[in-house]
Amino acid sequence: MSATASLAAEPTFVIKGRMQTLTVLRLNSSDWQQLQAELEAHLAQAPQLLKGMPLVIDCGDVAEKMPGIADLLNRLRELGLSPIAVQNARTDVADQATKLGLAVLRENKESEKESESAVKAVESAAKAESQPSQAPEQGDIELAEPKTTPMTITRPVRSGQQIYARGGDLVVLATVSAGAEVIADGHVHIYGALNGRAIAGAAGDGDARIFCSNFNAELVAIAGRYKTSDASNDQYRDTAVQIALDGEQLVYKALN
Amino acid sequence: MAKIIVITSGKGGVGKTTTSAAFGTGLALKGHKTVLIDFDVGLRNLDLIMGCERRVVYDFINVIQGEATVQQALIKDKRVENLFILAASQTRDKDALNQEGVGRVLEQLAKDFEYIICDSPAGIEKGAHLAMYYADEAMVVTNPEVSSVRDSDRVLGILASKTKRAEENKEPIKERLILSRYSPDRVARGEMLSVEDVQEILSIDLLGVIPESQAVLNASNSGEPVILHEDSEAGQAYRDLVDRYLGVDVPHRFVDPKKPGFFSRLFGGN
Ligand SMILES: Nc1ncnc2c1ncn2[C@@H]1O[C@H](COP(=O)(O)OP(=O)(O)O)[C@@H](O)[C@H]1O
Ligand SMILES: [Mg+2]
Repeated sequence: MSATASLAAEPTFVIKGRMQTLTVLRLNSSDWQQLQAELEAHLAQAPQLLKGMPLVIDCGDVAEKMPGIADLLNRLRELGLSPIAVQNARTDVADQATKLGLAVLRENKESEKESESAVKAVESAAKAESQPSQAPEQGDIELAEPKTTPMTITRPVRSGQQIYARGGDLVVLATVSAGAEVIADGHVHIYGALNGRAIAGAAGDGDARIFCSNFNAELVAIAGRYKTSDASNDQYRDTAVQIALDGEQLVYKALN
Repeated sequence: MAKIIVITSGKGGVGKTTTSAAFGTGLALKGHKTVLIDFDVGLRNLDLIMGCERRVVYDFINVIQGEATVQQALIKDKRVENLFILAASQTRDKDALNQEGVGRVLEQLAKDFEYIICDSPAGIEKGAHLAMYYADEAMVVTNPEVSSVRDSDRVLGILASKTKRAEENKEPIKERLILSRYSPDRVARGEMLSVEDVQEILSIDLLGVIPESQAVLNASNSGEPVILHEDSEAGQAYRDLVDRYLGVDVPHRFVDPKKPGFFSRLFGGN
């Protein structure tokens, strides 16, 4: 086909901006073997949480003494994780990462602070609600992904079933049974009883929330932070509740 | 059009075969031409409960393997008009069943029968899956205990996702709940889940509650479906269930604890 012909045809690509909050794995030790073991144990608790999740490796305090990054990448991928970028890396480690196909993010100690304080602002859920969502931070990456529509489920989600709304919100208009799992990259709304597991922000979006009209969950998680049913959330059992992430903590708040 | 109905549960020993025999017999008693198929290859229970175990010449597997025709394998019930049984093989293993073969046999039966009742084996493995694969409707038999309810929930998920209707995006299988081996007294003592508890967890239509009853064992020992024992509570509960299935509005009986009768109150009986 000639160049002029292809000009008239559909362009071969479209560039779209999309902000996405990413999960950061901050390294506190360069003992990769131990790190892998601990991560594995963490994943075993809630295997669906981080599977395939895009991950930024923050070299943090071990930047100076880490041997390189190739071995670490292999270990993370072995666990089913998808590292896509490094930040705060030593120059030679950054070079190695580039060669291995990773993006290198700008140093962003400042924006990290900003984001931490932004999370604090969510503390008062009511307040956060009246605000527009936080401005994207410097460290965010724009991904050319199509915008997805929310997914709506009208039939009960049964034990052994798993529903995943990739890239968007999930609305369930029926019961989520014990032993069932509902997952969304965005919010999860459940208008029946939630007796199973609900996971919001599965791709790492800490602004995602879980809303349910009858809370009786086995496990809830947002952006990789999870909580099984225990005494601390017992007071919300059988009530309407929303769950949001405040820093590292899942916070519960009565709905209505 | 024939209706294919699977009697399923996940858990074993909850009353699937008892229900298949009673329900199928009940439909035939109402004049509907009905065939019962035993999918529990290797165990062969249905023919015992129907009392035709000595009349099995060819079975379901023989038909699937082309060793006999459907007509040769169908056993006609001696008591009830319009009722036929297709027995399972006791000697073959489960792998003799295959999806394509089951489909072929069901298609053939659909030409002759109004109702095809598939008695599923326990579990969620191949046999159970094949029994439900072609179903139009499902009766999920559940006992009022947590593990049974959980298994039924799982089976409902499979019915909604791994069956022909689901795969072809047709109207979903119609699901109904049969709560079996129900003991109102034990429910009242908090030893078992109540009808309401189970319904709340499973959220499907309740077709019938069958009480725990010695009559079931007596009937199966004598090779008779319990629905023919009209004086028994279980038999009556199955009759109600069939009426309800056919669209008659019948209230649920046998769900409340028995009130002590006048005499037992008077003499402090029990
Ligand atoms: N309503 C009932 N009351 C008492 N016993 C029952 C009742 N229903 C089934 N049973 C008994 O439970 C056992 C299992 O029943 P069966 O119908 O074979 O279950 P399944 O086919 O689900 O394995 C049998 O011994 C049967 O007699
Ligand atoms: Mg059986």
